[in-house]
Amino acid sequence: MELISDAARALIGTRSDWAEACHPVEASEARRFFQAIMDDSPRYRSEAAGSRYGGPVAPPGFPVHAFRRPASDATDPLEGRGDPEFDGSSRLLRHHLPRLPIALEGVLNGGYEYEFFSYARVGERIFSRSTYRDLRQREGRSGPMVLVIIEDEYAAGTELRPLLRSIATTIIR
Amino acid sequence: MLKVETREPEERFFEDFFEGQEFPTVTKGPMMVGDQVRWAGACDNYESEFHHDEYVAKAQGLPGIILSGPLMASLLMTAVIQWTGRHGRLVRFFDQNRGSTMPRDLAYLKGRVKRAFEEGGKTFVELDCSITNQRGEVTTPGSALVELPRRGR
Repeated sequence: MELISDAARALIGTRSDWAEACHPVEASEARRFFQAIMDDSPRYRSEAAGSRYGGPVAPPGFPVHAFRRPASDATDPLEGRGDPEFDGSSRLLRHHLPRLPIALEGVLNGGYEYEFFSYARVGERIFSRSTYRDLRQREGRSGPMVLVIIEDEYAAGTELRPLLRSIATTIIR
Repeated sequence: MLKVETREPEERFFEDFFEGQEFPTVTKGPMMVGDQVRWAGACDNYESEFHHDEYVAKAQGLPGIILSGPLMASLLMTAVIQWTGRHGRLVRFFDQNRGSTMPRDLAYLKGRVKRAFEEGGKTFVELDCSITNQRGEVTTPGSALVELPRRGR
């Protein structure tokens, strides 16, 4: 059974515009992040230790998770969980990319490939743009699955200083 | 949870690394649902119910709650940064979520130097890294490339 429709395949190569995270990097969110990944290196919290980078910085993988629900967004993403009307036919994998019409419901993270350029400093604005790179159908232990390959670029400040480039594999099954 | 030592990495230079060098294994865990909840809070991402609701996880064909792949990758990346020292610049990192980490699993973070080389006047250490659980299953194979200065430069 072919799960990658022509409409889905047509999205390969689609690249979004740059989108800005809803607020600059906050010290408290950097703290929650480095505590979650169990890395309390002083560079993430100390002016002195972070001076090499121009001040305290967020962990290198932070920008990938910095695109949060803005305060102005009244749509609660938890509403409609388990919605019996949800047909599993369309996925929003990035807020700034078009929905992906793949008729499977489950989503898992398959892994990342990161290329790092610089740290995001506390107080900096973060921007991102994304590209659908590829779609591949595979047969898994629990049935068919589609691998969605998305390239994400992250940058800081209005000069768009490169932070990192990510190739993410998402498994839809 | 076992006490995990985290601090600004030691001072290390390119000359301190050699092919085949094994890094000290870092043990995390037992990983608990709380680790996952803390990660979800750090990312403001609560939408994947199978990460915190066992009923939903099993209904989706999973063996139970599984911890987030990006969380486990971040733990491995932190170990790479610690192993290669404060002067290291992480250039590339790759991980694959091959197996699940479930609540009460241990995570053994392992690393080994694959290659130490010079290119374009810069010096690099390439390493293989992975997370293995208490059953010996490699859940997260990975690799990394780190740029390191030579001693005295």
